[in-house]
Amino acid sequence: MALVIYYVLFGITVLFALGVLFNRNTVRSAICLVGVMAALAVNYLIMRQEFVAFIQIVVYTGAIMVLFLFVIMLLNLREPEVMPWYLRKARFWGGALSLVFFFTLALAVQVWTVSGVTPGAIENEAFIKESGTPEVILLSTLMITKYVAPFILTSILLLVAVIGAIVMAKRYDEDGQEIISEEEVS
Amino acid sequence: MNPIENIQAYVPTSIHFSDLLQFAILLLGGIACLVFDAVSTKEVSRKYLPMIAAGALVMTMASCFFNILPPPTETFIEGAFRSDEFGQLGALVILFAFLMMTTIMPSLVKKRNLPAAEVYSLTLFAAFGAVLLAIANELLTAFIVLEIMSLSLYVLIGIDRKNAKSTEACFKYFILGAFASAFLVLGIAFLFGATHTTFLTEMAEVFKAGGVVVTEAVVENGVTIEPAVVQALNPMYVFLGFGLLFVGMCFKLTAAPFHMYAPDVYEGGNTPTVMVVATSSKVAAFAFLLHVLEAMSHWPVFTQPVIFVVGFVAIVSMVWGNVAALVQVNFKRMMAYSSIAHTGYMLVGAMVYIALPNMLEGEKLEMAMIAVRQAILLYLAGYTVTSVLSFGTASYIDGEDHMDAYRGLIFRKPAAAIGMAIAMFSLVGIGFTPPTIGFMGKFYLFKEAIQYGFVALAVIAVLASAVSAWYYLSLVVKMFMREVDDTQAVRLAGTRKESVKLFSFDSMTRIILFASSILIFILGVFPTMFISLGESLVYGFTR
Amino acid sequence: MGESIFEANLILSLFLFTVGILGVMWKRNAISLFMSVELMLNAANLAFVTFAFQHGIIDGGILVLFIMTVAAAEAGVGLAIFIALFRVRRHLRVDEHDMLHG
Repeated sequence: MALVIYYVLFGITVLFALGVLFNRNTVRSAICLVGVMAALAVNYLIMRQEFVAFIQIVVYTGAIMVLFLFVIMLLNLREPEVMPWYLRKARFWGGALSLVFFFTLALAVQVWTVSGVTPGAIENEAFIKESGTPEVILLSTLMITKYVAPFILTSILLLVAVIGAIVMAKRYDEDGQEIISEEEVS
Repeated sequence: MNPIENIQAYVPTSIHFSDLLQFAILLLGGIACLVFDAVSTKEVSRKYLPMIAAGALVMTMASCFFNILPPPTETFIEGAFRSDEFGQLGALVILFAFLMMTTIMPSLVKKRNLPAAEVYSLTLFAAFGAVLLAIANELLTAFIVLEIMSLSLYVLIGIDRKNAKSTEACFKYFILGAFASAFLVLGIAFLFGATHTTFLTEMAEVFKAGGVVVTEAVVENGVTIEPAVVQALNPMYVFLGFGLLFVGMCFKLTAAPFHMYAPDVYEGGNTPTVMVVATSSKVAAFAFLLHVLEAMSHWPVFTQPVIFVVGFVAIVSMVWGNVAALVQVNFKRMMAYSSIAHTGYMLVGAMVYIALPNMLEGEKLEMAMIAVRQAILLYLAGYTVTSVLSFGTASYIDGEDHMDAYRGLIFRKPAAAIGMAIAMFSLVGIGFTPPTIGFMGKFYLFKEAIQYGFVALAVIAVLASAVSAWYYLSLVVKMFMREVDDTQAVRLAGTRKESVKLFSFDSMTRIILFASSILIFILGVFPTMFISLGESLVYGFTR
Repeated sequence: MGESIFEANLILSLFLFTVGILGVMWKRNAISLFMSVELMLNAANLAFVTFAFQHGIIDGGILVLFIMTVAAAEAGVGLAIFIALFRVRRHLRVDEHDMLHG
């Protein structure tokens, strides 16, 4: 039963991903991307990663995709992609090549995957159930011990991103003074 | 012990952020720039911010001369960093280009009316990311510091937002950079899947053992039970992971099949930032690539195919870069293709580095690896100093882009022409230019390549640099020719009537340009000085 | 069910990644292009979680959290760059950004 649910989910993810690719309307493909992200969150739930699934929803669909939609609306990008993809020769061959890439890799994974779940996975699950320690506690413990360096550096990354986003999106008048009250985005 | 108890029993051993104190100066400087700008007027901040930024850079460079970082055998901050030559000498090389950028920027900020605080703080943050990337020992940390560096550089390339060209360059750089980092992340994911870790030192252990060791060695009744290899490495994951990571790094390094954005970005971006993109970001990314290769090269299965792939990319970069540079009419585009070719030469060094662990053992291996690292670093230092000289001189020339601006330069601005000529001779670096660093760097690099049996590759590299002589020297010839038509002459930015103040940033730029042209010769004549400096910095004076 | 999910998820991850590459190649609108890059990052996240699940290592979750943060930072800067580009050029059609040519 669980497997059936999983494969339905697999199909949904694939369909949404194709939707991102083939939709010629930007808003629609953004919505399809939200679909992919939600489906991935469910996938994480199946893999017992509740916290990651939760963050996936909050950060990706809640923050990043809203930002995307906001910018699409702000810039009023109604015009769809003009020429259908299959008419562009060079891109067609690029696409064919990357499809070959995918099938080769998929086949290789099929052939090479070491069969069987490692004992670690089963043990792990059993221990999580037994000890009653929520996953969040484990993750946060790791974050401030083993992965403390990336954790600290992330804060600097966010600072850089804030400065960068402000400096690129701010409007200046001719003298280089920033315009604080926007009358319109012409 | 199960994984959960493992995590709960994890005792952090080396969270000493004081180890990174010298690099934190950059961070503090960046924040100080922002705060200072908030409390002062535009003129004041334009005047003093470059001083803060240059001061932070100089202080960090000075602290590189002291042996502060832990020795290369130790990792620090929970294994996230490990410093070898690239942590001290490499940081000096990286920061040198940033210092040059800081001294050129004030005139640009004034001319184009750019926001001063953001320019200098982002410069310092980019420097911070670059130096940390050169010593990163954990893949995720490396990814995050790479993003700190890249995000700052994306914005700095396009900081002049009224200029359509620069915004377009920024856009192209951003899209391809993000594309590349997606490759990098998937590569990291597969390496994580194969080796169960993201720490390069642990990864090296896994590769040495040929598989993931789960149980630890136990001593029972005086008999040591050897650790058991529970799960063999899955070659598919390793190669897929490495391939994706390598593609990502090739984008960052502008190696040949993945170089297409470089000429556009170099042409459109402002010259000081392009200088840093061409030198510092490349040095840092190359250091990271070398560390990954070092960890993986202990696995015998890995060596042969990867040497083939890296060698292919190196040859394509050298040939493509040099041939495409022949037909360029724009100086910055020419420099872009030239930097692609130079990436090819660097990758020759990387190839030797991969091959070493299967040729030598023990003490000899250590020595050989240090020698190759030093040769690569000497080459990178030479490339950085030379590029700083050429881009720095170019920023003095109005209409810097077009080759015709350089026609008859010697008669209008002799110092700039001579500096540019020195840079060009050093970039050729073969044949009749022995006393320059460009020649010595290549000599040491190709010597290592020939020593370990990559003769054909060294020959190709020498031939490719012989081709490069054509376009570098044609620029020199152009500069030394008398102007045919005076109306064609392009006005020079450097020929201002006003007297040059002793402590202005203009004069500092000149000083650095002068210093780098001297350095080209000094390091060219005494390359061993640089190498022994590196040894004393990294391994202490006792060795 | 672990094994089949593991394989299928890896293939799904590679599929999403390939779709992302195709999107970067085919799309003409800058924002759609960047959405394809986000799809590629999601594929990497899926691979991380799958490996973590398979091997019983909890570290995978942490790595995913950091990558999400980086994706968010990248998205912020990227969309700001798009806005700046739009102000200069009044459109975001990638094919027509050809001022820089040699």
